Amino acid sequence: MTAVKTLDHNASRLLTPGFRLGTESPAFDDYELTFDLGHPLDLDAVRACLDETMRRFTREQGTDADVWLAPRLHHALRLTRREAAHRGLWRWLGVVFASDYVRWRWGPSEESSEDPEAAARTDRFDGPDYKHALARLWWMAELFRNGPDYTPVATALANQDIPNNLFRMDVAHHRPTVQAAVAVLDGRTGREANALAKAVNSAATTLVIDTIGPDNPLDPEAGLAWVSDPDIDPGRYFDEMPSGPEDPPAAEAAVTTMVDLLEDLLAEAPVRGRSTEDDPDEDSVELGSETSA
Amino acid sequence: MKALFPYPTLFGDVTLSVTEVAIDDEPVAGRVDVDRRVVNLYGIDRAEWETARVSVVVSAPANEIEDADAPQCVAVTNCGPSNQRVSSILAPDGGTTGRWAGEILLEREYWYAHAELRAGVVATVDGAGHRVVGNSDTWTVMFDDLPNRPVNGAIKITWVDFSDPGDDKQYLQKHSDNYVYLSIDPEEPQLFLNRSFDGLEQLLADRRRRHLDRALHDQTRASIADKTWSALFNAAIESVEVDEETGEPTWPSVEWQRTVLEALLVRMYPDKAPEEALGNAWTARNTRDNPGTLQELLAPAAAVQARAPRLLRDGIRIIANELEADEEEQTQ
Repeated sequence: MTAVKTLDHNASRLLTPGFRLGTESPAFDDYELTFDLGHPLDLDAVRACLDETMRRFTREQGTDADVWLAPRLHHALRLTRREAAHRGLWRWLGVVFASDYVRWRWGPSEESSEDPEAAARTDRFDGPDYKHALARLWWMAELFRNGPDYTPVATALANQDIPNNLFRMDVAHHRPTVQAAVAVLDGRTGREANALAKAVNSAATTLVIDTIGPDNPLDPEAGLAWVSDPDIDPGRYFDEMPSGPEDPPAAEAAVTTMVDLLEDLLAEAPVRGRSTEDDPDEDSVELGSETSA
Repeated sequence: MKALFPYPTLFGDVTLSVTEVAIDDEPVAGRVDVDRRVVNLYGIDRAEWETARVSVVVSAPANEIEDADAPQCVAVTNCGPSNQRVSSILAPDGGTTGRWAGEILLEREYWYAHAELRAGVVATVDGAGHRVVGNSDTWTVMFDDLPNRPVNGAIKITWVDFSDPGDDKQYLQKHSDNYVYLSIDPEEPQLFLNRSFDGLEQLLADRRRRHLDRALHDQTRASIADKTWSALFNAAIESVEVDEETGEPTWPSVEWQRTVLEALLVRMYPDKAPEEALGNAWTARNTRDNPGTLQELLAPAAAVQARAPRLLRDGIRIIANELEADEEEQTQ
């Protein structure tokens, strides 16, 4: 089984356009360090999910690929939040372990392209959690799952403005707000997703979302059981949705309250391109149910 | 900086105090730095600890709370690196109006690096519930994964033999002729000093040097600090992103990057508010007409930040005094 490692950030200088295009293969050995998690991590299962993504979808189907991969990546890559906060781990995953996937998802649509301008950007290999090709999917799944239910993750990723905006904000650490946002934005445009994210973030400076919608805490026992489970069978979930850690779902009453609040905020928020009636938004993908190839 | 609220808020201060820290239900002493508002969970003797329980008391002016409608107090702990948020609604503390107490339970597997802890007092204002009417100062909870909060006035400095740096820092070997290497890790910038550079450790280690040694010591330190601040600033400004809708630059989300920008921008644009200074710096960085403008402003700001002019003046005075003493010796 492949052993997980971290990669020192000084390896970043080797992420040349040639590496990002896949035409150069710098040696990263000097920058790799073993990473002892103290529990099994089945990187072969992760590899199987990445390979299947690249088989099922074309490079043009990036959003559909994200919707499919995020729950399965989270299911296969069993990490605690503390471990997943480690930037060096994601750097190693993006640069060494899964650079082919990063290029496939974020590189030029023509695989053979040698245009450095079209190469996947450095931050897709080695960037913050909202940019990194794999970290963004894993963290979206972690923050948008409702207990073991990954369905809201798929719904949210179908609208790429949710990972680009709401996901990056501190309010996304409050589960009832996240679940309410997914419910309110279902079927809405990307511009509405952006407008709502801003409105919630702004409202949170004068309203305390934690007292409006008190949440259930995560269950550390469930988390421990999740990362200690050595039996992952990724192929079993290629055509059906896997389930995640057995944390309690976000408090239902809190989600209901937050839905009301978010509906009000969205109704009042300035939405680009919206006058008195909703305009169709050509730039954005409509939210929908999970897409299979 | 006081936030502006479009409704009446408390005039008096909301104060958060940490009264006890318990690890795995056992109280531990010496973990609270009141002056810096830090709860330090780094370097706990029990390596495999699982939970930290932080007991807090929050107080607000009793007379104002007496008049408030449905006041409540909540402590929120938020961690950027691990995207974790925990809130604890605090209970009114006995019969004292304007005083609340409670515990914050931090399960170790959910936290990394550092988290911010803040208490907020909410009340119903003009019929609207859950309005923030007062916030405490922000405390920092330090976890053990990253020992130092990056560039909070000081950067982590590590002495390494560049000719034999060990498996995890092989890249330093390529710089074995140099005396310093700045590693701008987004998580934690670090300055490596070369132990195998003859005399450097002796020169920099002892702050109580005198005369010419002192001048060289100060100059070397200032030069390193000056270059470090400039390099960190350039890395930080590269991390600034633009809000797609407003077109305005936004502060980087990584804390040290923001700290570096705030520290230097105030020197580079002394007459501007921080956001405006950031906007100006961002524009200067992207201008094609005169790309050197930003560096022109940065150079003196970094020098002053590193106290370079003052140390140079001191050094010149020391050299002048030495020369004078030499001349007197020769004339005698």
